[in-house]
Amino acid sequence: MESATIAGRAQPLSARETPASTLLTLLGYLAALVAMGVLAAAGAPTAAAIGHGVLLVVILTHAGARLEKAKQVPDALARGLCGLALVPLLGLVGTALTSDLLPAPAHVVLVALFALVGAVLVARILDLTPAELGVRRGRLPVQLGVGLTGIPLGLLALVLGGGRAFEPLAGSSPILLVPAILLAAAVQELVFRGVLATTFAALFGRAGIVCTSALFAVAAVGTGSVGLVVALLVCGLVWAWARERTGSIAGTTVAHALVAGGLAFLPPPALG
Amino acid sequence: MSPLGDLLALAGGPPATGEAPTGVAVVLIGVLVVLLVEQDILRAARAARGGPAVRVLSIAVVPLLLAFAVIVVVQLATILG
Repeated sequence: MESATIAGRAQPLSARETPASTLLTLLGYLAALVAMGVLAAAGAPTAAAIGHGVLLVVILTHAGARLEKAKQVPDALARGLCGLALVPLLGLVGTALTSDLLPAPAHVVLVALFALVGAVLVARILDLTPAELGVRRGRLPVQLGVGLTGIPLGLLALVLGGGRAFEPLAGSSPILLVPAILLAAAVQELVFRGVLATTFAALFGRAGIVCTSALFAVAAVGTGSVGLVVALLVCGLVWAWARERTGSIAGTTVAHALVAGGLAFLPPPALG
Repeated sequence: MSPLGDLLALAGGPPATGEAPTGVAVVLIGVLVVLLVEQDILRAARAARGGPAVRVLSIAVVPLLLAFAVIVVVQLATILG
């Protein structure tokens, strides 16, 4: 009978103990993800999808090979790669189910659901508990405070990148769009501040925050808005730090939904 | 897109007008096939069913199968509707 999990915990490594080859491997994957985002932004979605697909197969094969070798206690890189695979998976599914095929809210919901399936599978395979993923309520005032960071960060995202990235959502009914945005925010927080933050913290310690935030920003490269990528990098850093400090993704989900809601419903502010 | 284009896309053939979403859907199906074949090879290579490498591939196989099912349903609805 196939076991649902791979037993054993990777030993957390400090940034100093992480071999340079591990960092180089992940930087290589990160560069490839940026390249795919640039292709998508340049109006070549098929080429970007091929790239995401190849990357997905390569990352999973790499992770599988390392897990096979590890047998009992999977190393931190293998666990990190399992989490990392969710990024090209999101890219591929997001492009395949794009606007021409489905109305915008349905697209948002379906991509979020498929990402949720992927995240749950990673959590099961790596034996990650809900608490380790940050799926817990936390202290209400603290989480409320974290959630309110969505207001200034949402303004930052509007100023730097509003009006372009969320264009496909324009004209959608708020009754359909609001629940879709809430679901997408919760799932993306589970992926980036849950699965990726946990697996990358085991690899790089606190420096894992930077890696997770970079991946979160890279996922927006396909929008073609450099300002939005910068804004999401800032959001990622703040939310990853908050998640690390509070141990919960409840507040970051609220903040994420506020930022996404602002981008979807508010016009970009006129500057000057 | 024309119904012929939809049918060709479903069959995995070249899209009639070369529109991007169909091309990407074909890529998705291609990636899914590659992962399923790899999973099968890995299973066959081991006497026992599974192993970590096989399970890891399911991270992508399951969501891509679901996405494929959605694409098929939407395309069929487009053709019939």
